[in-house]
Amino acid sequence: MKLHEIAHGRSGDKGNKANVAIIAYDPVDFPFLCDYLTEERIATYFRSVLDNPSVDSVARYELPNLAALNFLLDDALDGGAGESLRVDTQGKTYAAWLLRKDISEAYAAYQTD
Amino acid sequence: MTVRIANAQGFWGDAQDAPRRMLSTGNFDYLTLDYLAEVTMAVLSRQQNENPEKGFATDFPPLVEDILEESMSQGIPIITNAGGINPEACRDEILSISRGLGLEPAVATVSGDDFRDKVGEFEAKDLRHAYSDQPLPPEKGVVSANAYFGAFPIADALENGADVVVTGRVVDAALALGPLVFEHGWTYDQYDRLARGLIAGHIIECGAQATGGNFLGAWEEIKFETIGFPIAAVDDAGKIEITKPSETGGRVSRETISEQLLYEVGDPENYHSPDVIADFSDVRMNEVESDRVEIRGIRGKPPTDRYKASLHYQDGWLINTSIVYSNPDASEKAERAASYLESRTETAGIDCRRFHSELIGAGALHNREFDAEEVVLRVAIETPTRDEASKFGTLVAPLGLGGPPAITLFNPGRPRPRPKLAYHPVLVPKREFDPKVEVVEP
Repeated sequence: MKLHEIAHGRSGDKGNKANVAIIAYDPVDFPFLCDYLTEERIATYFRSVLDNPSVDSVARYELPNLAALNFLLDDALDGGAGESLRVDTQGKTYAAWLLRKDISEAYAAYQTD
Repeated sequence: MTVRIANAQGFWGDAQDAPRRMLSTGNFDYLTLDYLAEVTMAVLSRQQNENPEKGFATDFPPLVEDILEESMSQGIPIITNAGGINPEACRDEILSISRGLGLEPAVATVSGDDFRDKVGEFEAKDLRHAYSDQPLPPEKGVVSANAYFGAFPIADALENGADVVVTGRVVDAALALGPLVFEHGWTYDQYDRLARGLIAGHIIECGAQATGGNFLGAWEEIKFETIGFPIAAVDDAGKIEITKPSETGGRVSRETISEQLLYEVGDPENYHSPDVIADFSDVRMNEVESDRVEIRGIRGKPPTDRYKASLHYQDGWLINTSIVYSNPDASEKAERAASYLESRTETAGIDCRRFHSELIGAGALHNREFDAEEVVLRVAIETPTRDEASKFGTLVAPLGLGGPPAITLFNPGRPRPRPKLAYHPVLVPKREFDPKVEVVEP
């Protein structure tokens, strides 16, 4: 089971920071997202693009009424739009990337708790 | 009383027929057009160095020629940041086009945001990078320096009868907040209302990205070819409804709107602008009917005494190239070609500050997971001088006859260097700036 089966999202840039928003289709899945998508997990998942691949590079914000989480990733864009050597200079594919994460075990375990 | 604001350009390069499509299918009172990305001011500045008459978004005047008769007959003012670093030259071109059409719009400019020539007058502490706290390197010339102005100068321009408002750098959402301030008579201290207007502007500023474009939900159902652009209807209390014209493609739903709401934002409790700090962490959305979403629950608090400003300075050159390798062993061959280019770059005496290669189709974006039928090798480097970057451009084609097999060159012609424009955001005191609003009557 992939994250995109229970959520959608959007990512973008602010200078050399990337924001990655994940929005549950059904509010009933929001507690699972809060439990599972920790700053640690996000830092690990995106480690290959972070200048500093540690939890210090990730901030998480919650929007309960939207069943959404917004992550802000520091120094995640190789300098940002004017300076990056990467094909994705603005993090436009980052939300799609996170939504491919396999959540099979964690989601099943969460239902039975 | 409800004011309806449409945005029909999300960026410079957006669908040229979108404004006309909106004017013929939609009901709204104001039309905004957003042309400026972060780095655009630096690009425009370089263009102005070649030609002093330039420095504005050159796609805007032809678009005006296309729609001005229609927008004026519907009584719809146009508000845009297409002025870039030369709003006056943009205005002059609009006036010239208007004369040719037999129309007489009052055209306003909002300027005073540009402080390229006055950077030296600021204290060093005010020029430290807003996130990293690094100082502005003194030895690099500043290519562009622009403060982000807010909604009130735009409201002023409208109050003075402007049919077209051409700004320099403003926060994108101010293009919509300006007419809301003017129509509703909101004052600088009505922070909740200003916050709601700001967020309405944020939702529509990227055009089709609110109406089913770049949508990670059920994108297969979106009719992109005729996608409608968003309209924000905002009443005096700041209640927001987002719609699009019914005869257009796309979708306005909780899902499409919440994606755009969370685009390019950090802390939803502290969404900064020159006029207000918005808190939309408790926002509530309600699908009132098909393709109409109501938004409530936004609060505002006073802004800081600083403008965010963007400086760009040139710091080296960038060049990239793309080459296709087919199976068998597409990835291995691509990687071999990458190491060939790295070695040849060194032999050629090129001072390569950074060398980056990625395999598109075999995990460039999201980590390598599988072998592909064909792979695009993309290589990008940074050098201190233009000559060195150009020299790299000559090293690629020899792979065609003298490298791994089953290659096809992806980019036509030799790759060309572009300057690396380093981005340096700062927070500068508002008291150092004086937004200038000028209206030229017909």
